Amino acid sequence: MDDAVLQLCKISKAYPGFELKDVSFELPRGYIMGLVGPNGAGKTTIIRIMMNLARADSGQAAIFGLDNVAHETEVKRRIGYVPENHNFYDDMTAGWMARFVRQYYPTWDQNYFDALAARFEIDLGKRAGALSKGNRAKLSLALAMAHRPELLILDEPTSGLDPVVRRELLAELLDFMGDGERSVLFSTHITSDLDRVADYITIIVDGRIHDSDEKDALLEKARKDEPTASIEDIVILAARGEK
Amino acid sequence: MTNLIWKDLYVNRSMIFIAIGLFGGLFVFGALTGSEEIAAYSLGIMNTFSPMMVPFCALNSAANEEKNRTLALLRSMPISPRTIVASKFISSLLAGILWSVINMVAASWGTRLFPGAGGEFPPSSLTGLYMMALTLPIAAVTLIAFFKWNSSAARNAIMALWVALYVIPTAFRPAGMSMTEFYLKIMSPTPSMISVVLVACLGVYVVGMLVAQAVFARRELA
Repeated sequence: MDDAVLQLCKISKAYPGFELKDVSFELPRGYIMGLVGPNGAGKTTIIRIMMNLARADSGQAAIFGLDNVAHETEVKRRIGYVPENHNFYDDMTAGWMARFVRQYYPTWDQNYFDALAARFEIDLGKRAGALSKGNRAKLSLALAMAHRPELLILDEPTSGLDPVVRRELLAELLDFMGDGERSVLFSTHITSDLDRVADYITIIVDGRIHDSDEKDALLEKARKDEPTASIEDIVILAARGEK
Repeated sequence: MTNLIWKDLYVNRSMIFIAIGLFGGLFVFGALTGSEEIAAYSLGIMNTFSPMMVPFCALNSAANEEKNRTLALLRSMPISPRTIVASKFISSLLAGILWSVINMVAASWGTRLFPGAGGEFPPSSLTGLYMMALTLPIAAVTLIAFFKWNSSAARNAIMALWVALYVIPTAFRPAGMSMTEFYLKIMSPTPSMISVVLVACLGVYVVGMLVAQAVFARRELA
């Protein structure tokens, strides 16, 4: 892929009892990729390595064609990141958090943030620690999107959220993709989210990439054997070690 | 960097305001009632807080980052690990300098209004600065422990080093000098002694910052 926004090449990382082995995949500009796999498959570890929160034992990660460690600050200015746990200074208000975060992004669009906060019904005067789980997720997404990043990386963004909030967040992702120049990588184990928004799917099982391709191509392949196969079926078969 | 420093000072604001409130309240009460003992006591409180300010601001700030799990937030933003570490060192030092300036003004006014104030260790305008400087190495090790491990390690480092702060100087007690005389000498420094201590401790603090930066750049965050 010539215009890959994200390239992972043979990334390996070992922890006691877990090993990420030779993980390679690419995400082309302008698409949404779902990183899917069972709990403990290594989705969060891959994302942490991309964000340089963990170091790969070997292999390389390039974002926007730049090494993610050597050009860490430059790369992160162009990324919006929503972690699995939405961490804020809990004694500070949501509005204070926004004022704090915006200092680090030259492309921050305050009007866009205000619009997102209004659409998500986030009370900016409320302490971050007093926000509900759903509102913390929304605040996290608004903070990640307000500088209009070229790449949005989300780690289990819909995990633990009720269906209404989940649908709102996914709709916002599709809206974010508007001009075709932005890309999204999101990890999940909720396969219905992938059906709804993903263009590409990377399946990871036990720290290894099982498959990485366009969603339709994956479905087509699976439906040769089982005409009604869904993404969920593909993931379940992969987790069981079957093709 | 300024943004991070301001954030840390803001987080520590209650610690500084409580200290000022305690001192100010007592001092005003002493001045209103004409009680030299109370005024003396309030100046004593100022001196007691001086060595605490930098290490405890550092620890408070570290504990706050850990409670909120915000080190990972900071690292996920376009901020270098070196800047994150430097901001913690600088903000803690600034809190100490701010307190030392307040201490200087208070000691200067207090001893003028109440010449007998200060009790055993009569405060000079530089006492607070001297005592703050003495604990800069403690603050440095505290922050290294935090950036290497966590705030629990930082807390243990403070407790161990605080004891060391009292014990280690005794190794340098001249023969024939009693412990009381020795501590009185330490606690009544000459301006040149204050300068030497300030420069040496600031040097250790800066080296500690460089070590913490190297350590934190290699640390993985959950």
